[in-house]
Amino acid sequence: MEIVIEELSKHYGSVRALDGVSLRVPGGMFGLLGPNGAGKTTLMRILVTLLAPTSGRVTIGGIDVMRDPAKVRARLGYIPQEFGFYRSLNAYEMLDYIGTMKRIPPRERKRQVEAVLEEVNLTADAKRRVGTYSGGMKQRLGIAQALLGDPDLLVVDEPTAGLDPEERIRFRNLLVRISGRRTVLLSTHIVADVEASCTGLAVLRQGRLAFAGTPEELVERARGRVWLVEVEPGEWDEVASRVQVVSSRTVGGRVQLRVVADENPLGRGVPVEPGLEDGYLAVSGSAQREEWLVHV
Amino acid sequence: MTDLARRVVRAWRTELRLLCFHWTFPVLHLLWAALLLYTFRAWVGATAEAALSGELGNLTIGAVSLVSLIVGAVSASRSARTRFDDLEQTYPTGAEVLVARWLATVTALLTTLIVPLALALRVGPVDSFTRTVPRYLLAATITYAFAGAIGWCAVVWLGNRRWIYPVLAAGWVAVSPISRIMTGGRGISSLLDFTRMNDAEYQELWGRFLAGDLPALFNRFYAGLALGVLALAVLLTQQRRTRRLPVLAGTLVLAGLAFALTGGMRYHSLLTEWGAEAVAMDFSGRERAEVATDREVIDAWAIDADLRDLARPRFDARLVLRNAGSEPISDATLTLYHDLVVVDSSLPVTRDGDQLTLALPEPLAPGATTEVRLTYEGAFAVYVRYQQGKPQLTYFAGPGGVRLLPAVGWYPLAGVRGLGDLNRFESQAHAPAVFRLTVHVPAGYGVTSNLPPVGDGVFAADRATWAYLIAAPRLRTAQVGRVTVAAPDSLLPRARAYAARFDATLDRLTPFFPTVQIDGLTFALLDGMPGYVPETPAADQQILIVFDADQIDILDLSLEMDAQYFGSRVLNSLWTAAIGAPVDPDAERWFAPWTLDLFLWAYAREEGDPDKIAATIDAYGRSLPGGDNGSKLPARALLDIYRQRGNAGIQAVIDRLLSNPASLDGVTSDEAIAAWYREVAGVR
Repeated sequence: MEIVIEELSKHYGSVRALDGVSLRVPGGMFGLLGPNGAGKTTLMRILVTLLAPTSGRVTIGGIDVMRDPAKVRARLGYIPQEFGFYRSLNAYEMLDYIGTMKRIPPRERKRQVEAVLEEVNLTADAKRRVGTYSGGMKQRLGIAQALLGDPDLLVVDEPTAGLDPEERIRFRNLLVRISGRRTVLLSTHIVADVEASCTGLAVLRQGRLAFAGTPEELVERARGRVWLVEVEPGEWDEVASRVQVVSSRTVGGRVQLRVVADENPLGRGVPVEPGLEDGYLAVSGSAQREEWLVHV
Repeated sequence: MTDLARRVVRAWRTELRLLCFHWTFPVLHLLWAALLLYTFRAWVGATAEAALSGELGNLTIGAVSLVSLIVGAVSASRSARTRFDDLEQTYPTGAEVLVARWLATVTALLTTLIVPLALALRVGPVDSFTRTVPRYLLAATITYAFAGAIGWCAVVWLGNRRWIYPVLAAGWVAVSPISRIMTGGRGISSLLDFTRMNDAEYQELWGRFLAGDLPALFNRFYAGLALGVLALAVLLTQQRRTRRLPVLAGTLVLAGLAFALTGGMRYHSLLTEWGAEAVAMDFSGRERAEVATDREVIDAWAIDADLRDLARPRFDARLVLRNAGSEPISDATLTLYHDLVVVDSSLPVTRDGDQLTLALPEPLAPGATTEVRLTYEGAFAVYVRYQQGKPQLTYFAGPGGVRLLPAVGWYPLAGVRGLGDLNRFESQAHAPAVFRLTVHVPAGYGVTSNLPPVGDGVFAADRATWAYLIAAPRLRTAQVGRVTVAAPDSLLPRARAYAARFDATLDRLTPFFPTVQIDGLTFALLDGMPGYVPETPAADQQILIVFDADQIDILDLSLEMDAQYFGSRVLNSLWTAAIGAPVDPDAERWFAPWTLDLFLWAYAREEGDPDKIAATIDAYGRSLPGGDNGSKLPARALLDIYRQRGNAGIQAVIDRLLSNPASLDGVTSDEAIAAWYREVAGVR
């Protein structure tokens, strides 16, 4: 299911959350990367009909989102960044309710509810009240509700925030598994999630599109610009102010930095093979640089 | 079931479950039941209909309307509070979910009516209950629907804000006083008060007939507003979701508001019409009205009231007119209510408002009589403005029945009389005369009068000084001994029980008044404003006792009321008949010392057993504020007299009082009164 976004803008007063974004999502699992405040959630909310753009046009499977939101909703599954359920209902009841709202016929609904519960591994806990669920279980229930009605498009906004590593990996695998027959649009600021699962991706930066293509193309953007350099602890601040630091670790009293820079930093850097994170930093510039300091 | 219906039912069922299975719901019900059972433990109304149309009904609808406001807002904000809203809004649903969930709040709150309905059922009777339940449920549903829609709309419009709840509650508290301030306490305020804390539009005998179309228009106003407000909530939601103006919702907003507006305007215009006609009614002035000195006196009335076509009640009156003056008269003046049109007459008639002038064929000599026949007809309604409230219907003849008293001049009165002087009965009474009233009513109607019944629909007295006539579909009459009971059908069984007590009281007390010829007593359980005064004199041989049907439970409540009522009301009439004129209610003291009435009541109640009389007097004294306030001494003196001389001793006291009431002047202290009793009875 193809998504076509043309010159999409959303303004909140003088703030431009989205500024003339044009993008084509051909299908499959597609990642949307960008730092916090880049406009990812705004874009997602426009796609799922929760928000009206200031200007521009979006079509999903040929349906104009602004002109015919009801038709879009009929083909949509959505997992927002933050969500909840009626706490006193159990998972089965909640999904059955949602299935009714999604216009699934009764007999088919029962089958689908049981199937999605199985899919997200919640069958054993289906009769427990949702209010007693852990964060990961709620997240899985979120996927389950999104899968009801067998939607052509699944929009997933920052899904792994708050999940422990094991849950995160399981969740990622689940998304990959279900993306075979549909378009999955995955918004995240965690590059590893996209790297592990997406066949295409786009990078947003300050409301504008900074990159669109495949993960490999994004990696290529960093080729020849990624260096490993050892510095004294006292040099850290100086290096960090000049180049983008991807990661760092302490080795024998010195600090080993992985940086993205057009030129060899301090003249003693060793060029290394770029990764997706490097590519992401290469296209997203210096914004939110500190976020990418991962101590290993 | 269609797909749409499935979503409606599912959303309704789920919301209902979320509301009813929350811990606050049973707690609310427990508190509610406790409050109602405590508040109405002794009194909820005379009948189920009175209870549900009166205080119990108003309280339950009014108080729960506050809960409805809050629950509406709680329900509307549920998705936002649970963060389910973002998911919910991406589902392919329409307005049906909002409507179904709003409907669930109304349904949930209707369960609060279980306790009031049970209380009303306990009061009974069953037919009264079944007759009222649909109307009560409709009124409650409309009010809850309106309040719930306000709560929903507030949240949809303003978002899930915590301050919405206290604002809604404050609005509920303020609506009644503000509406009264805005409208000066006059009629229309009752429409603006959706909490229904205004006066009940119900009377036991007439149901809601006296309120006309007001209750229906009130319901229409709020049903329209409920629709309009709910449609507005739908419109706001749909507009956000579809980014278009939803035409259907917009149309429903306008339709609902138009429905409410037209209902409200009709309500207002009805009150305005009635207000323009209304006669002022002021109970503050007790001075006697001037009565015109009549040249003419009517010695006999024979009135045939044909009420079978209530759209046009017809009266055929035959009068024996006497010249009471000292000069011959060539014409006679009568007073007849101006809306009653004379259609036939044995004498030429000219009319000026309420005054009729009959041209006599030849001068009538002083003391001579002539017979006059008048046929008149007409439907009319008289409204009064009572304590600045809504104009109220008092006297009327027309569809629904008749309620006619001399104040409205429904039968020709001799001379010039000011009609409509509703609270001064003395000006309406006429010289004692023979009165025969024959009434024809539609099938199923009951009829009553203050005159003794002598046949089916026939009432007659030889020395009647006034006559009323009531015919109504709910009115029933029964005979218990010498007591004629007239009461709404639902109260007749209870009224009969009271009638037995009146009968026994009458039997025991009338021997003490040998000069009084009392053949019977009419105990009429009628409604609050029938136009009578407590000092209503007997119509010749028949005592009339009218009691407010809405207050019948008071009869059961206490020994004090029992004493005041069964004893004193019969005694008042006996004293009045014995004296030959109504007793002045504003006199410095009642004609007889109240301790004499107390003793006589105790005597009647305890069937003359002196020990029980003593106990009853003591119990009565203790029931008074502050305990015995002096009843014991004079009443005990009477008991001593009774023990020593029997009825003859008491009779001597009564005889002295009637023959020489001035002998009690200046005798005020309990000791002096007791001494006076002993002296008169010759007992030390």
